[in-house]
Amino acid sequence: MTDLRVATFRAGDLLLAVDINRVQEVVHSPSITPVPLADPCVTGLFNLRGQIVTAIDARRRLGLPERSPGERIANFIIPSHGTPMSLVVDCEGDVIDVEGDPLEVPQTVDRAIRSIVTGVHELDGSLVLLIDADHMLVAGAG
Amino acid sequence: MSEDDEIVQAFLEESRENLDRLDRDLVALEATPGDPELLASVFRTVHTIKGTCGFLGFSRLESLAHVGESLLGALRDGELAMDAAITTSLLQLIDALRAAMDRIQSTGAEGGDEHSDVIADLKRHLPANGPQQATPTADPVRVEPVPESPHPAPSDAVAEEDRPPADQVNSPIAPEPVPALASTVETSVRIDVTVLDRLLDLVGELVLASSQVNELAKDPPDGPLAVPCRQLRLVTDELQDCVMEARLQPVGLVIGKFRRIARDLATSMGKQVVVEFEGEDVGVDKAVNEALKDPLLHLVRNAIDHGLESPTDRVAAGKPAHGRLAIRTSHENGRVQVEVSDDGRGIDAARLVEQAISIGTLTVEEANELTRAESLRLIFRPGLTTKEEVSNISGRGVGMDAVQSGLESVGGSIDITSEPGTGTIFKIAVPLTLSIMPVLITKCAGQRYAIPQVDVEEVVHLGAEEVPASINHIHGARIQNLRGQLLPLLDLAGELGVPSTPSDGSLDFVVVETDGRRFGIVVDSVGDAVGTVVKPLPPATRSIPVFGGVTILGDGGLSLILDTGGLATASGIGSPVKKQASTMPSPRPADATSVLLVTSANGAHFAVHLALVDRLEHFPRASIEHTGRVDVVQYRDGILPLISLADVLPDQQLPNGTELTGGSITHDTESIQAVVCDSASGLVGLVVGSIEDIVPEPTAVGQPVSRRGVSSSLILNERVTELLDIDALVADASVGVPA
Repeated sequence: MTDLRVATFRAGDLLLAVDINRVQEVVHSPSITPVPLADPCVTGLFNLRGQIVTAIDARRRLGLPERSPGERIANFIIPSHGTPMSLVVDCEGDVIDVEGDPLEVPQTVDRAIRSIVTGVHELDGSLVLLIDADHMLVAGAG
Repeated sequence: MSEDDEIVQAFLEESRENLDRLDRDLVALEATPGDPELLASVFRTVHTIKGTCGFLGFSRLESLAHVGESLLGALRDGELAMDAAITTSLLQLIDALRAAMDRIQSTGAEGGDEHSDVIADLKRHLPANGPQQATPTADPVRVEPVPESPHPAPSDAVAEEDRPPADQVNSPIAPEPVPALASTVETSVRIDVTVLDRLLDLVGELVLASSQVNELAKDPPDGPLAVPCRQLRLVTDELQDCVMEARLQPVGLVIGKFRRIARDLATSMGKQVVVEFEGEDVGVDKAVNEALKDPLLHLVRNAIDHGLESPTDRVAAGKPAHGRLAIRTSHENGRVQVEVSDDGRGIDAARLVEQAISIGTLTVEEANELTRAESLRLIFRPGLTTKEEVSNISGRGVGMDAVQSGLESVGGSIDITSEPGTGTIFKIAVPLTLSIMPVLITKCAGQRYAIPQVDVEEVVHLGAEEVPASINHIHGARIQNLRGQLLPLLDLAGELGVPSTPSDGSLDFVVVETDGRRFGIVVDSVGDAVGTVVKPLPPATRSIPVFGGVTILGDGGLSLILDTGGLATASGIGSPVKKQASTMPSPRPADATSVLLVTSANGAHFAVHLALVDRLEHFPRASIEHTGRVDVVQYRDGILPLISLADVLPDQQLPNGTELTGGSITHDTESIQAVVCDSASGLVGLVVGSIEDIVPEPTAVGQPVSRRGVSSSLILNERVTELLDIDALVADASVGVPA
């Protein structure tokens, strides 16, 4: 796999990236309606121009510590299996091109993360974890 | 799909509609034989089918249609009179055409069937050698010497030689009178339902944007934007109505087919029936139309099979030989009402009761309590039928319960009235559309939750001062005494696992009824009733049983729609108590006998059949009057005798229990709790210590009678509980009958 353009974002202390072609848009402060009794990864639903979007929290999905209230978040709108989904991340980063084949995900990485991360790239000395968007956006499968 | 395929496809779709119309027209024609307009319409339709078949090269179909056309021509021109036999033959023709079209649809070819039997059957009616042959009565203007169809069936050719004049009259398409044509021209196009759905979504967004613009335009009130914005809102609202309407289709699309079905059924059973239709143009959502189909079909079949008597029986009963079946559709309070009535023998309510008892869904005691209307409703219970023998059409006792559950699944309802000897009326009510649902918006923990209006019975607000008097806590669950009926309350915040909002002691709840269970949903506040477009929950949240969908509200925010049935099941409310599961008979209907559990003032446990319980009341101690042996209170313009359970049935474990002395109601509170019961000698108040619970009555036979006033003792909620025999109690207490 070479020359992939990705959108980067942060979740906890991780730097993640998703294929830019999967990201429809980034929404900042939609009015979220929580869904009680739903999987904890589902932060709720919101209305995006008449479509019902399901918001999945990246931190919870990856088993990372909860963010403190009031912290800035961004919603990556990523249609998955025909359903509009939103990946709730800490903040969006740059759009970058990653080159060369990704490194394998080390076995030491937490299982929850390993099932979602397809590869690791090195960028300016830090690691970027490339995610499988569809896998990331399945609630309750982790 | 090639161009040719498309043409064939269009032909098939058009022809199916035409055939449906033929079904309808032919049955109508049988009732009004000479109707020239109907005849002309039938003739024209068959002619169109014939013409298109010829054009597309379906020669066998064409010859089939041709024979039908000849027969119809003879009818139209008065050479023949319509009768039942001819109608049957023509209907068979339509069936044959329909079957052939199905074959074309699946195989692309018309197949090798010559339809010779159908053709022969049709020809049987043709006036082959009648006097009409020599003197055709047709209007000469209509006669056009158009060549015969290019592919006549061989046998047909011979027949034609025999009677050229008749054929010349029949085969060409005659220039029809203009007014008749105008009424049959259809101005419609086919649109994919998904396109309509998307349109509806977009219009919803437009309405939203329009109201936001209108908000902005309010400042200043008479600014330059005020008038165009008002205009914008008016147009958007109208657009919304139009799009909603576009999704509706006439109910006649479904019920129109019953003409034919009713006729065929009646004919096959040797009965005569006139089917009357009203309101076929009433528009309903396609989904509702679909949902109506099976229940209505079932009712029509039942009416003809069970309801209508044979012509001889009818005449003997002083009725016309023709039975009457009427299907009336109308709009009623934003719902569609369909009434299916017949003038047949009616339903024997007593037999239904007998049957219900024999199959064990009803006890004899229950049966005695039933009103006539309630007895009739037994027909909706599984396993019941009034038909003596099972026929191949109906009478297997499956169905009426399926009819009811089918209707309920789309928010509909069914009711029955029946008079023996006079007939039966079924009234069905369904919502206009399934995608637009009237809901009641409630608030709970800062979020809005919508409750479908169809489930809502009433909305209750209790002030802080009213709450203690009308709410009882039973095993931690709240039960409200709503006008004498016990109503379990369900705390929505608790059920959803969200933090509940501290309240000032007042209580708001929505009384809902679902699947025969009635309960109150406690919310923070109750808002408006609105019509909303229901959207399915996204996949990640779909498995949550307490939600039925989600909707976008007027301000663009979302509201989850509660599934009251799921809520009841999830909380276990109103359903048979889980602990009792093993003692419950399996096919127990939801409204089975329940018992009210109470304790006497000294803590003994008793149960009263809920059917006997009239109301639950608190009486101020000061209002109790002592008259001789019994205590009474003034109640509902009369005198209510009081019986204290602690006194008449002292706890057997307590040796110091007092004997029946009367007038010894002893409590230390300001008021007493009484269960007002309906006894054989009138109302009586049982003074109890507390109301505990309502549970289904276990069918396991309890211990034999241990003492007077008790009919059996049972184990309920893991406690020995004595089931009260109210009449015996009343007799022993000799409280007499208050006037």
